[in-house]
Amino acid sequence: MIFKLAWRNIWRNKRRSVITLISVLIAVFLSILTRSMQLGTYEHMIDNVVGSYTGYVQIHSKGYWNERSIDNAFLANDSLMHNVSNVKGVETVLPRLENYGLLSSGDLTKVVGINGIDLKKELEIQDINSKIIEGTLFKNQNDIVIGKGVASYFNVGVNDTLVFLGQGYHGMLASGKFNISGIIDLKSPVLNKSTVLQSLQGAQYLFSAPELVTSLVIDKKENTGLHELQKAIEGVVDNNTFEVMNWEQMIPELHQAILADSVGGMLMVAILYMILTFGIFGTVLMMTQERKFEFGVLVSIGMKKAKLIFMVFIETVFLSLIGVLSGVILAYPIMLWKHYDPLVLPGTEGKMMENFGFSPEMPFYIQPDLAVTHALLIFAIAVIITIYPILVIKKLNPLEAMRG
Amino acid sequence: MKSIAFLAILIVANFCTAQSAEDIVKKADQKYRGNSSYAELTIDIVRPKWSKEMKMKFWSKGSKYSVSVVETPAKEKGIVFLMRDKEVWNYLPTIDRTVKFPPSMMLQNWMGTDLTNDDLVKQSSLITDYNKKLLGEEDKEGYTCWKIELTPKENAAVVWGKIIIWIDKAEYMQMQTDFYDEDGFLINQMIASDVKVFDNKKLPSKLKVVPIDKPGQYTMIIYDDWKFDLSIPERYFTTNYMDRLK
Repeated sequence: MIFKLAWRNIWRNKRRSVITLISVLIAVFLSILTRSMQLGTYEHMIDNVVGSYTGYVQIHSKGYWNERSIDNAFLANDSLMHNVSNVKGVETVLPRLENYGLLSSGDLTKVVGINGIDLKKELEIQDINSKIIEGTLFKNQNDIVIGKGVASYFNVGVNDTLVFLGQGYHGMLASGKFNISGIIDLKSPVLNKSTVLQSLQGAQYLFSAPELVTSLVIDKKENTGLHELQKAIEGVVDNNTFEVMNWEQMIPELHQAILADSVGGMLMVAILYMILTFGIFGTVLMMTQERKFEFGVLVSIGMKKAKLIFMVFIETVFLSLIGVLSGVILAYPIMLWKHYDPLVLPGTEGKMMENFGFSPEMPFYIQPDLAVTHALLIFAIAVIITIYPILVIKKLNPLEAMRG
Repeated sequence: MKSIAFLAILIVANFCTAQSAEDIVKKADQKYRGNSSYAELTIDIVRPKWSKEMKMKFWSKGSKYSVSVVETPAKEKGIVFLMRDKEVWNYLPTIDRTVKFPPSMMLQNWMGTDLTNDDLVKQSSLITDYNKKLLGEEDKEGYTCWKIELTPKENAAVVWGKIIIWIDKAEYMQMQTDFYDEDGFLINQMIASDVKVFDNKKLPSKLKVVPIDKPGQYTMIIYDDWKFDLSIPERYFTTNYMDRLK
């Protein structure tokens, strides 16, 4: 009965209702779209840097991250690999052996980082081949793939030989001649200038660290929470010998940049919401004043005030629900479209992004949690605004109200 | 008159028996160095979670020239270190190249041991860079030793603040050496043991180098063979010969 009344009441004054509806709708539409673009871009950035290089979570020997010495390498035995792979949400576990040393050709010498990677496993999660701009990936232990910055520093090409000299496990001498099998563009000038890729076995031999790795890089399944995954992995490894770190701890710069930018976005949305709040409040205020006579009549013919309050509340709920839902329904097709066919930053701005190591694409975020959060927020605003008519009804004196 | 002559004899005799600390260190140094020497060494590097054994051959001439070649492990076979005066040269067979260690690398560990590259070239430093003082006598490993304190001379380019050496009185064997930093903290200890006869000389066959601040970590140098005063071709101590040294 009350629901029916409320529904009818909404459509008694169509213009007023439609204005309220549209203001809610636009607010939902805009806030979801802007946040979707922002969050999508962040996710893409993280995917770019984290997904392909650092990994979402890494396991190291305790203390490795602070003092990145190969002496902290550890044995990635089958039981450890097995335990970690079986954690829910783990996509793959990639063993890597990283170390630094001098690379030299002729009179030129340069400090580079050598990454020994398990090619077969890495290829499962990322398409390294597409990043090779010359030559091929390494085929045997003496092959290396160098960043394009390294190649241009030494002015060398595929099938040239480079000499490496450095320290291996526990100060063992590490030296060798390597054949360049390919040149890779890692989309980041910093990485390009300092990265050398080698097969895991090759690096283990070079650094006299058989079977050892410096880190296990973990790629998470989509829709798995980063922190839950980290906790779960901490649960299966010995926390006295290993440290489990997520990318936010490993690359705090990126995490902080995203946080700072995100706060800016949230501020915009907050301003939008403030305008919206006053918009809805305005119509509700108008409605309450206009209907004082009606309320008076209802109370005097015996309607309980509580019922009246409930009815007004339901009206606002209906109105804002319709607004929120239609806003979401309008925004989603655009989000989906831009998720699968992302915006690409044009011209110099796109180049700049590429130089920073990010691809200039900006796919939208389409996870439902975003829409739900914003719908709930706006709904809450609508509910809070109903406090005003409730107060008015509570204080209502039917006689005075009807006299106008 | 008679008594004066007697006194003079006494004084001279006294000078002869009580040698200066300077002489003791010099004599000990000369003993294990000889005019030239050849040694076969086993070096054990021990770390808390890891250890390794290396075998090397070593030739030296005077205090300025020495050269060593790695025999095992196979991966490092043929690596040569040449010490000429204050320079260290390194030949690496894997890349067929001879590299001179830059000053920046002199304080790095030599072949993963607890010795630095600098320790290898500064062998004569004990003699030339320090003032010596006899502190007394102490027993080490069952040998009565002189305990001698070495403090760096002014302007000497050394890293240690103080060194204490125990040298055996009978055979001039350097039984123990403690290295202190400038703040007086004990940093490194070199402990000799297992005295054997090499080429008619009594010398400790084991030398253990212990960094005090790294528990569970040391390097043990074992002399398997040691010969002295043999003639070593001059070419052994040249950079050109490094790739042929065996």
